[in-house]
Amino acid sequence: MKSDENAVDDAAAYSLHALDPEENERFEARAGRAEKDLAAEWALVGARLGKAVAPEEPPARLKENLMRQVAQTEQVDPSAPPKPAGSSKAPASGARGRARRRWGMVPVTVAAACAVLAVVAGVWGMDQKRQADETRSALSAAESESGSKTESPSILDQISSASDVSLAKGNMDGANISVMYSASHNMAGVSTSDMPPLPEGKVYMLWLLDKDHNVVGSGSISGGTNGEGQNAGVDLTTMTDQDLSSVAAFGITVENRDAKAPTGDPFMLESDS
Amino acid sequence: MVVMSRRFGVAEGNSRDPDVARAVREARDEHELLQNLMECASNGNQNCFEQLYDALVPRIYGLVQRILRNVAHAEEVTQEVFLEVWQKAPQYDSTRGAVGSWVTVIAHRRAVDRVRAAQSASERDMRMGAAEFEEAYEHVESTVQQGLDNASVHAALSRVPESQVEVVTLAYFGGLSQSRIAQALGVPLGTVKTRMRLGLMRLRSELGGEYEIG
Repeated sequence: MKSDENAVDDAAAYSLHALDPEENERFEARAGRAEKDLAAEWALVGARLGKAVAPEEPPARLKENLMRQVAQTEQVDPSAPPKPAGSSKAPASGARGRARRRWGMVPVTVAAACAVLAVVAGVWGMDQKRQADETRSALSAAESESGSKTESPSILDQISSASDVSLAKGNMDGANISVMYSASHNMAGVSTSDMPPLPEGKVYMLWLLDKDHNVVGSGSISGGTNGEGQNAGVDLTTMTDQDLSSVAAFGITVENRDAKAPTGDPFMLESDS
Repeated sequence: MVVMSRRFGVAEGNSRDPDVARAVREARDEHELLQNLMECASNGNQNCFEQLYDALVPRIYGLVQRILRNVAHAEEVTQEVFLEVWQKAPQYDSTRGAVGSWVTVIAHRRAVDRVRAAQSASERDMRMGAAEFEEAYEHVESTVQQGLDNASVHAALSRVPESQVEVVTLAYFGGLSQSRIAQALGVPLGTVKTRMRLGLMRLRSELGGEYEIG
């Protein structure tokens, strides 16, 4: 794969069975697990198109022939793993975290960055307990690493000990975004690592969305900035100035610092509780 | 929870099979019925498989026919699809998609393989004739406009930029590879790749969670 973006493009074509045979082989041999998971998820989007085709009744002989074949055909050994290389990851469920409204078109460079982020959205969703632990340790690591940038070291402790602590998380090829938040405390901690670098003047903006995906708050998050060495390692952003009571989902876009509304389709994280 | 009246029926003859009867009894909706039938079929029960076939074949046959535009080929491919479903039933993993989706993905791959095989047999060079592409294009366009009976899919497609819908549907319903699409539309391959990815992302977002139901 020439670059991550190519691999992701190929995942799209692969999921629609639109690769030529040699490209297909290359994808199966070389794509990472994230791309394969993404392809599996996009194949389900394709299946939605397929299932929308008006039904047709086949001739009765089709079933007769089939059942005759079935009677003579053994099934695969259930202990043999299925081919789609991949993970035990379940497809993301529910419509909650999906962007439902149009945000308008975005400049190409921004769209490209959003695309990378959308991959992150495609592969998140793991065992919640493990996720909680990982998020907590990622945030703690970020906190100790970048203590000077943190507004108050006790914020994370307060969030993680809150009874209503919630998580949202995504990761792909080393780029991770974790949000841990407590609505009752109105506090959120966001850790990012290895975010794709952004052009001068652009920031990753976290949008707090209610259940109808209206923006109820926002803040820029660290990561991906050039020249400050922040795009390597873990960055931490804490938020204490937001009303989190109606937050149902998080979206991220690439914006100018003073953006008041998302200009592209946000990459969605969703709260898991 | 006991459901007294069911919208989904099972042929009388097979409901005498206790496994089929249980699959039906324990299902609260069609989605669960398909899951139960698949699980039962994966243990080698042909009666359960037959019920599964009855439930799924109209959609699958409809799709395969749309892609192949040839009734005889559509019958053959549909039969291959369900034989593969039978063989691979033990590998079906419900956490990776609903039964209907899983079967649809298999059907799509087999239908596209057949389209490609027919193309390479009929064409000496890789260039697709303009007339042939025009025909495929119109077929895909009419499929999208008139051949889909799902309002939310229609609505979602209408909110995705046209240039992205074009490449996604040419690939999905036309069975065309990205390189053929690029060549026929006269745009760079990279552009087609990007449109395909953006189109899928947008479509997924516009469809919400519905793409995995049923």
